[in-house]
Amino acid sequence: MIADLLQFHVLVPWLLAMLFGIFVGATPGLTATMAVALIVPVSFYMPDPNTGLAMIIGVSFTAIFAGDIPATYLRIPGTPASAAATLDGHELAKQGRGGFALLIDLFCSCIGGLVGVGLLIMIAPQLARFALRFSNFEYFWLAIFGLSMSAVVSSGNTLRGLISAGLGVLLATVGLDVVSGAQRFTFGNAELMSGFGFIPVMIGLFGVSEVIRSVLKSPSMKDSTTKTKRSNDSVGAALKAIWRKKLTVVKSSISGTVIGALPGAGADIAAWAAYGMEQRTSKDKESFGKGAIAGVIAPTSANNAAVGGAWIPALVFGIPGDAVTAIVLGAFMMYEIKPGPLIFQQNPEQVHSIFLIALVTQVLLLPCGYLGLKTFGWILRLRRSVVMVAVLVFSVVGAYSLRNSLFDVYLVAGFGLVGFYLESQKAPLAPLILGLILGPMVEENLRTGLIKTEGDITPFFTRPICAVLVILLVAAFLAPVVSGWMRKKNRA
Amino acid sequence: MSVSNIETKRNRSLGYVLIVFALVVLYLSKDIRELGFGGNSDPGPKLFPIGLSILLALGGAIEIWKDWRARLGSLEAVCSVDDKSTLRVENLSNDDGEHDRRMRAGGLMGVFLVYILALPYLGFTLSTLVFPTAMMMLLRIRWKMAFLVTAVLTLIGNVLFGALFHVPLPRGVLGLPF
Repeated sequence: MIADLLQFHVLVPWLLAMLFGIFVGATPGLTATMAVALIVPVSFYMPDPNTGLAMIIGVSFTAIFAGDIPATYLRIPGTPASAAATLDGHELAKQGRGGFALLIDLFCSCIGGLVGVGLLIMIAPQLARFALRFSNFEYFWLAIFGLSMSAVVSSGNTLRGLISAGLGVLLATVGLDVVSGAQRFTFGNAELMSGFGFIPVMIGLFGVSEVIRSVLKSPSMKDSTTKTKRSNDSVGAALKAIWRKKLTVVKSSISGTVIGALPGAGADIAAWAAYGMEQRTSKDKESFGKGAIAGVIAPTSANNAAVGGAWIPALVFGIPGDAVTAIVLGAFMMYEIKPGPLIFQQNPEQVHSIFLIALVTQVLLLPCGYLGLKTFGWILRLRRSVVMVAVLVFSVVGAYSLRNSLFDVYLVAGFGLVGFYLESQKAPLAPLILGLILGPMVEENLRTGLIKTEGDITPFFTRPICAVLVILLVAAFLAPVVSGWMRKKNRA
Repeated sequence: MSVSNIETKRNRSLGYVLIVFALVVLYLSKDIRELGFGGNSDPGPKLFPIGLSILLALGGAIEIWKDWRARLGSLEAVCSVDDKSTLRVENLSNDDGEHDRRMRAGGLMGVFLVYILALPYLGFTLSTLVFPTAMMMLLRIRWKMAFLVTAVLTLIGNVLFGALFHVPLPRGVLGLPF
């Protein structure tokens, strides 16, 4: 099977996509989510589905690593997942050891990714066997749990997260009703029968809205050239430094995978949690924030491991862990791959192929990442305004090419404005995307469950797994309230 | 403008927008036809649109209430009575840079909208040569450089999507051969 993946017609687009991921991830202001959203339309034109999947999976991992490059040199995280890497990585860069920090980062990202994917390969099939016991009632709560967690975790404001998720579910009702086939909000438009196209919505929300935000934020669109200090630390020295902190790599990779697997908690939270955990348990706490090697290793191992972790609920239950996985999941559906426990029984070759692509991607990350480190100066020389306009042009042509439809292009513009407005209101976009994907799952399982029980809602609460999920859901919402009350009590 | 003021205005806008949006969805939901395929136990296709719009309206109302509470709190912080018992109001003026950036972002989106609306009439090649050039000029890139970059973007779009992926890119009313 690996021989199929290492053929010229697969490997070349795969590597090019990964380099594209490096370019987008390393460009401050552009995110990993945008990189994946923009590569999906191109991937559909590949003659072999494995090539398309390799491109999408490759970009999702490389963009997260690439975000660490400007985080280290410029103290500007390329993606939110790289924010924790700015702390010690940039301090090392100021000491003239930026190249060394990034070499450590590259190897740790690769190891973290391998651990994340390794755990995915070990856990997912077992979890899928357990998930075969699930029926409509459990899936309903699981989807609600995923949506709620994305709202609770992804921003500081739970209410706005829930509003965003609700909007996503409402948008998912547009088109033909999943149960009865009735038309909803189609206004006689044939293109709305199948609902809002997932990819145009994605490109609009994460591509166009980011362009607007970037223009609004940046005092000058010429602010691209920044001098960076180069260092001569070798690969051998980086590997030695990692070996000395091998426990940190393992701990951070495992915690990153676990946090990534929680719906709503993405690579950014995983990176911060790993950094905090390492700092708290370190004997040399004072060195953190001043260029500690462990401060580079912990977040960079965790953020790439989280990408693999986020795939566990995505592949087993069809519930994406974060926005990047949500896009990958949407793309899988367009490739007629239906994630869920049955995929492990009905289409094991496909699952193995996905696992193998994810594993090989970690290995390919090394040469692609190294090239990214060496060409970073060139990326920085590109003016931001040029990059932004290029993003707009490729958003248009990418959305159009999916169905040769101008309607999809208008959707891109419309959702670009919606995304910008919502973010200006501090409403997170990730729950909206999860709502759009999980909306049909929530509705179909609720209504099918009610039809099965002839309108009786008690099985939704009395079945053991449902009861556990309900308790977890209530606990997740009550936990911040209770901890706040406890803190007040302690202070008093 | 103080951060709390900006925040308060934002909350208020989101709350009202949500309520109006929810009311529109509620109004449109009356046209959804119940086909009755699911039998009496199926709550029907109206359940989610109506239920969610009510929840969104509720969310909007909470946002407005939170804004009202925040305004009460921030009023004391923004306005203060000085020693001479005269009312001193914090300087609420915006910086000019922010105004410029807003104008630039608005202009960029305006040209972008014209670009996508012009696509079916002018075709991909011509509109991509014209409008993205204008967008870059708006972002203060010299026209020669802007035109060169858009020419490269147009070429990539045509080669990658048109020639390689066989996407029939819009040709426009002029019927340009590319």
